[in-house]
Amino acid sequence: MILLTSLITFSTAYKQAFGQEIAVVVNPSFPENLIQKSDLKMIFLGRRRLLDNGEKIAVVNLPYNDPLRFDFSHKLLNKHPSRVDAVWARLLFSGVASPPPVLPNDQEVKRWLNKNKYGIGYIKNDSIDKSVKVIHVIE
Amino acid sequence: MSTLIKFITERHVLKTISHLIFYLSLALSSFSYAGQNALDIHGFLTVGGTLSDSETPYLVSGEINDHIRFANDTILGLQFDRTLNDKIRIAAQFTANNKNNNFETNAQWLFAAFNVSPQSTVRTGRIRIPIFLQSATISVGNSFPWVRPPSEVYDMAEGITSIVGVDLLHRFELFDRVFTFNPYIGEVSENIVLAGQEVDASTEGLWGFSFRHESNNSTVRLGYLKTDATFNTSFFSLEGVPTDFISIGANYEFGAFEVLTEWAKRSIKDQFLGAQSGWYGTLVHHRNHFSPYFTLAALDSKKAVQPSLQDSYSYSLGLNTLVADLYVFKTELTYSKAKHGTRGLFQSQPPDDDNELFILSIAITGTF
Repeated sequence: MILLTSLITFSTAYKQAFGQEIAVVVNPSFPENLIQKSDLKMIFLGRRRLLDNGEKIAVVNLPYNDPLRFDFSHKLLNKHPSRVDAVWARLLFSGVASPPPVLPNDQEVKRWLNKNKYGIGYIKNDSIDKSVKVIHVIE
Repeated sequence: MSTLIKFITERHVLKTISHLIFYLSLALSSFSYAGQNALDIHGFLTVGGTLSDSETPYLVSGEINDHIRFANDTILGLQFDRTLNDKIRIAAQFTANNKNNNFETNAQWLFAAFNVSPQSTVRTGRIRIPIFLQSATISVGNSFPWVRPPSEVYDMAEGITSIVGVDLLHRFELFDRVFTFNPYIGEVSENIVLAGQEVDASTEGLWGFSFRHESNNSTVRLGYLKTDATFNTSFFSLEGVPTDFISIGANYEFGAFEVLTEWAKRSIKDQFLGAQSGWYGTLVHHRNHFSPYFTLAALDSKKAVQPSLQDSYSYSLGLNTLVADLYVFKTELTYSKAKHGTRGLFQSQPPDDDNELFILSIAITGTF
């Protein structure tokens, strides 16, 4: 029953998110050219944890069942969200890194980015405003 | 150099250094003001059942036989982590498993970590030995595809997963790739099962390193360990036997597929225990909530005498089903056969007409 419910939830989530543009965003004061597009996968999988200037990167995530996260995980990371969580769990239980905080929606992600100069997250393209800087758009 | 390592790893010297640093960190933690950093608590759990068609107990634990047993793979773990400031962190991971039907509790690791630079961390205390690809999370069921990592490689460590000592984790990035160099020194003093005998094992002058390369879709890892090992049983005693491990492992993802492979060799310079080498290859297909996989594995031994000889091979077919985020239901069917008249991975020598078996394993595993 749990499995069936999960399958239905994910199918619905994928349909809702399909076709939505996703913006990878940072704090407005984030230095230019510190992150390339090719770095994003390594960063969101916890493999790359430092910027070229030596500062620690902080990643933020959306809830497991959020359609945007489902889409982001598949399009950028080429993985189901559960496999992304498993990667972070491996880092956590090997004692080397903690999983990113999970925030409920785009507004909270933007608020969090304003408090974290070297933070990085993703929101719906429609949610972009002056409080964040876009470094990449996933179509 | 080797004299220096031997001096540092002398039991009393190493223990004194480790204890001093660890208790210094604890003292520093008590001086940090309340509420500065919370204690993070996480956990993992695997409940696993096994059934084979052989009366002869299988694997080092001997907990797999022709009765339904929940002892071999069932484990509960709790992890405590506190970051005191930008430089110091204290972490501990405790597990309880049911291998002796007593849910014995062990500290898998318990260390103080010091960030000496943004790229480098020194850890001291009880730390994982990074011998294998999955060494760091060997107790965490959903960090690997199998019900248990292939015994042809992972049982070469005879259940030893940690040392008391010091290591350095140095990470650096080059051309979109991350490299991690992890040298360590320390000691082991544990009761293990070796060649079917209960053995008090200890080491002197243990040192080693691992080197890991990570890219977007692959990991390649090399490990080496060297020590002088002492084994004491009621039947024999071996003092200061030169022992070394070498291993190379990799995983590679391409689309919905993932390949994991590893080769390892253990050499104990003794005519009774000899050398072993083992390998495995696993192909996993990730398809939404389902991940079927197939594993081939083999173990060979040389320059040893019975019962240390362990030649065997196995095939495993498994299916992982995601039941919730970070909770996976695993089923696995394994065929294993002992070769060349050896006991293979059986706990003791099986009869000639019963040197192969099928094992059905099921497990539910998750983290919290």
